[in-house]
Amino acid sequence: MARRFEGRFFDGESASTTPAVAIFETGGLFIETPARQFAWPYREIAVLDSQATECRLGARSAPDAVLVLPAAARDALAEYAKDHHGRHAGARRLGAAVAVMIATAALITAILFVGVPAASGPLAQATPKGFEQRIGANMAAQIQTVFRRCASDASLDLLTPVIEEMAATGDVGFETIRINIVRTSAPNAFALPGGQVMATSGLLDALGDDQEAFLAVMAHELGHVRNRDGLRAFYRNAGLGLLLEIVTGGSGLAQQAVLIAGQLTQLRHTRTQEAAADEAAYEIMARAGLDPAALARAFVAITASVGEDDENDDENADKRKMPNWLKTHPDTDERIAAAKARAASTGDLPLRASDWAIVRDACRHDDG
Amino acid sequence: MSEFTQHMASSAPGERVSGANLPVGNRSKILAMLWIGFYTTILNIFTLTIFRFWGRTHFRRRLWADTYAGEETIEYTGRGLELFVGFLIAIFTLMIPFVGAVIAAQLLLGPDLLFLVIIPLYLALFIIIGVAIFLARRYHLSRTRYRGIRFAQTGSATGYGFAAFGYGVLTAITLGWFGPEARIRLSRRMWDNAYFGSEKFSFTNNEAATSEPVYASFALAWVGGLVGYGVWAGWMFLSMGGEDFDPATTQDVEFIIRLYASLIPLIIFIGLAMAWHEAVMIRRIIKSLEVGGVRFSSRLSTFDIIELTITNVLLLIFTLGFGFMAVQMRVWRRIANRMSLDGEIDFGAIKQNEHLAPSQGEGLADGLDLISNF
Repeated sequence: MARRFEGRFFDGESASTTPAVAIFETGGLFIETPARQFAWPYREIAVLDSQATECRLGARSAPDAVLVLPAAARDALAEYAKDHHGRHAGARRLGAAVAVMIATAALITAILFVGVPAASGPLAQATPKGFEQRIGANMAAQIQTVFRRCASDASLDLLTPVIEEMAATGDVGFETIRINIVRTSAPNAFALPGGQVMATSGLLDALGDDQEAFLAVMAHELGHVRNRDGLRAFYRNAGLGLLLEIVTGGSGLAQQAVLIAGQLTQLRHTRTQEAAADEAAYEIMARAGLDPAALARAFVAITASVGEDDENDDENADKRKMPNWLKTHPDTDERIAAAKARAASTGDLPLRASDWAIVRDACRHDDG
Repeated sequence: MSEFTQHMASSAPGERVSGANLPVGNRSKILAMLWIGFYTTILNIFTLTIFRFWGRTHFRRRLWADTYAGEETIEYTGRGLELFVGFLIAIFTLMIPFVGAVIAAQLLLGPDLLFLVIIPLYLALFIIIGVAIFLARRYHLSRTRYRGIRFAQTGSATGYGFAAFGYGVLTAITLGWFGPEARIRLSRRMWDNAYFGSEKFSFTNNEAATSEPVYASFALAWVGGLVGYGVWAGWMFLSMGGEDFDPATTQDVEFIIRLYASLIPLIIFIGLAMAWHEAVMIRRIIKSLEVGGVRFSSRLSTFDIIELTITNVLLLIFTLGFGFMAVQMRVWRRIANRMSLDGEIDFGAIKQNEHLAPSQGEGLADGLDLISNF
């Protein structure tokens, strides 16, 4: 049996309104206005709005037309067109859309947190070395606009051939190694892409006369150079950056979740890479005729330099913090034990004591 | 049932209505908006914020459906999928190439050359921000309908982008004093190119609009802001030990708490100083608008702004942030409820808008994080 409702109609051609009678029948909704008649199949009808007193209906084939009816017409529509406008039809459609969104989000997350890190290694290996060297040189130049380079040319002239020799015998893959020492009290060293290695004046201070320990730290960094870890980190970060771009404008909570997940992923990969760089350091040291266990002495000296300062000495406040070089690395005690286990008899140190003193003091006299 | 059929087209009869018989307002309920804000926040977490496009659409539908002029309500006809597609297009055609260019410049250029590339890129970004705002509005108006008639935004998005950038520079050079004029000019650029169906809006300099004390209220906000900041900075300087204070060595928790605590009265003071100007500016823009023979008017008061700001901040705090849509609704509800129409409009004479509507929208603005929900 048909149900009739009186309402008003906008034809979508002009802004004027006309009274209308809507008749719900099995075959569709029939609309009669003083001047026109319309028939809307139920599958084409959209509920534009549904309020306490009125509901507004539209049709896909007449996209600007609006039929305004009493709220009870909404029940009539649900009754005559259960498939399209039943009680839970809208919620079902939205639920399906949300399920697709969640699946998409899971896929994006898997690609960026698992796929991109897994691809970063092969991608780095496939990157031309000349390109990587150019990237590294520019990154080094930019870092030095913030952290002032403090080593003299004389000290670097002494140090560079030694490190390059270690790189050559250690099969690092880059003939030219650019060493730089920057002034900051935190004991640290890091490798940039393309054979750029940086050490801090704090590291030289912490290691003092122990040339071999310093070279062990350099061997560790050469391990990163050989494994092209700087470039791999860049590719991983690019993936995370893309994800953050996608969630820009989203809620703060979701952004934070992505950031935390990203940091955890980075940490996991950093630790793996650090362990691999330690292994590479033992090999590079041994091939250079140096004692791999010197890396253990470096760990001990760095840890001691961080802990030994006067707690009330504000000038050394940044030293007391855990140094970055150790923070992201595997457990220090385990590393010390592992390095000690690699102890081997060695030949002469590459630099004479007087030359090492020049390197060691490179930043102490340079206040300019 | 056969296909859609339509018989006997006829011209619509005239329908002249006085503005006085077209009361304007919004009857949105705060609980409805809190609910939309709540489920949008929750679903954002599980969908990597992809749901935000649908959440925003739900909000706009509700807000417009609750907004009326006379006995007819406004309709928002946009779809979440359109926003999502627009966002994807913007991300892949603009945002990723832009970020890629910045990263490539950082990686491949030395520090000297870097600035030669980065500075023009960022200047371009400022212009693109204006373009994005314009395009978002073009989409939004094209999906807004009243009495079955679509609104539309025409005009040049690029022109708007350059104008917004130029006005921004002028505002900075004049220490903010060009700001109110810039806001009026940009509003004029938008509204003078906006349509309700076949009727063009005009942004007029009528007496009611121009009599608003734009620069007197701005002077109070500017001087108030300066005095407030000066008093705050002086008090901080003295309370931290005067010339002996060294921020590099004073980083304890107490210092940070004191710093933030002292900002609260400063923000309240500056907010009070700016409330009059904000109310004036909103009235100035609304009173300038005319379409189809009716002129808009506004009774929005300084007290409205103060009360809304305080209650909205409390609402955000007590709902842990998911009340953001309720906050935006309350702002619009107050503006709408203080609005009225004068003059007479002939609805029969207003025909459907023939401007081509964009098929997707707002992606650029979303990618640049410029979107407000309404």
